[in-house]
Amino acid sequence: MSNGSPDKLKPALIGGVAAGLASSIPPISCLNCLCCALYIGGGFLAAYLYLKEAPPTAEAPLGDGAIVGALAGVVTAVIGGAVGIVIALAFGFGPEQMIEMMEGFGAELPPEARDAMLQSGGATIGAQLLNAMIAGVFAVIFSTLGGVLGAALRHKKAAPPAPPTAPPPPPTFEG
Amino acid sequence: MTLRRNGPYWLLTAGCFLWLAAVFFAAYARGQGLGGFGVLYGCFGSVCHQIPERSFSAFGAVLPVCHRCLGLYTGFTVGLLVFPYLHRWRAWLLGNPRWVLLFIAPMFVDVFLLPNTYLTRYLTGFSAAFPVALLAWGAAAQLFDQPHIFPRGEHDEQRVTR
Repeated sequence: MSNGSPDKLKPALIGGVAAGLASSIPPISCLNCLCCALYIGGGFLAAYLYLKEAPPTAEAPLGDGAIVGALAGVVTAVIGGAVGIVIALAFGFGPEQMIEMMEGFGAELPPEARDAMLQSGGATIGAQLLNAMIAGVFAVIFSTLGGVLGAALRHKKAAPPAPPTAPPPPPTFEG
Repeated sequence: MTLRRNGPYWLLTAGCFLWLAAVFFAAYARGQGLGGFGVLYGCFGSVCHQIPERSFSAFGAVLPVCHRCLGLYTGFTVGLLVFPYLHRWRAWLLGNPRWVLLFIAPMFVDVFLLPNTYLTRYLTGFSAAFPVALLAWGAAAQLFDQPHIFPRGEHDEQRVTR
């Protein structure tokens, strides 16, 4: 862990806002079905930006990456939830539309998942809040993992310490 | 970096087992006709496409996650359980963490380039998550070494040295 390291909040905000916006806009949000690609990507981006300004270290700052990723996940959850609620209320993009869109992509939903989506209650604020909370938990978990991955891949290795040089021989006095 | 099988490690491992248990319990509950499994299917539905043709079945029901997601979850869990015994490999991978890309690359090849099967989907997912478990353990170890984040407990003597 590095002391005097760069600010964690700014990269977390950038990564979190990017992932939050992407995961709340309906067609793009389907990318989260690919192993949470957007959540992982948000954490990865945050850690990548954070380590861009961090000094080289002997070992990869995985813990710092996890913290930045988790912060980005929290921002993703807040932004994603808020924008999702606004979109749902403004355009009425509820579960029926989501199911239609997923089936349009060729996905055949299990009846239970379909029922659960439909029972989640359309575009009511309560249902949207519940969805946002569940998505928020996933966002924090996967964004933290993305941050750890970003720290591993962006890590700048410090050069090994130079071997101690032999002191110069004492001057000889002749004559 | 010194890795210990201490509180955070066991917490991480327990979380992984709970996660896997939730996957299989959802299928069990659905197969047995118990109530409440729809919620679990709905939760996993937010992170997986749940296409039945691309998912394993257990207990007479389709699992709530696809082949690749199940591979990712089991790979991560197995990684956490196995890495404490792979001393050399662990030291090498923590020293050169960019090599995790070597394990993740097959999944991208499988997704975008090859006509995949259930076996390739599961195995490439497993391979991608396996080394990430070590990185997550390393992150937990680094966080645990910061006393202001996690106060050090007295029961962390079970030590795994590199």
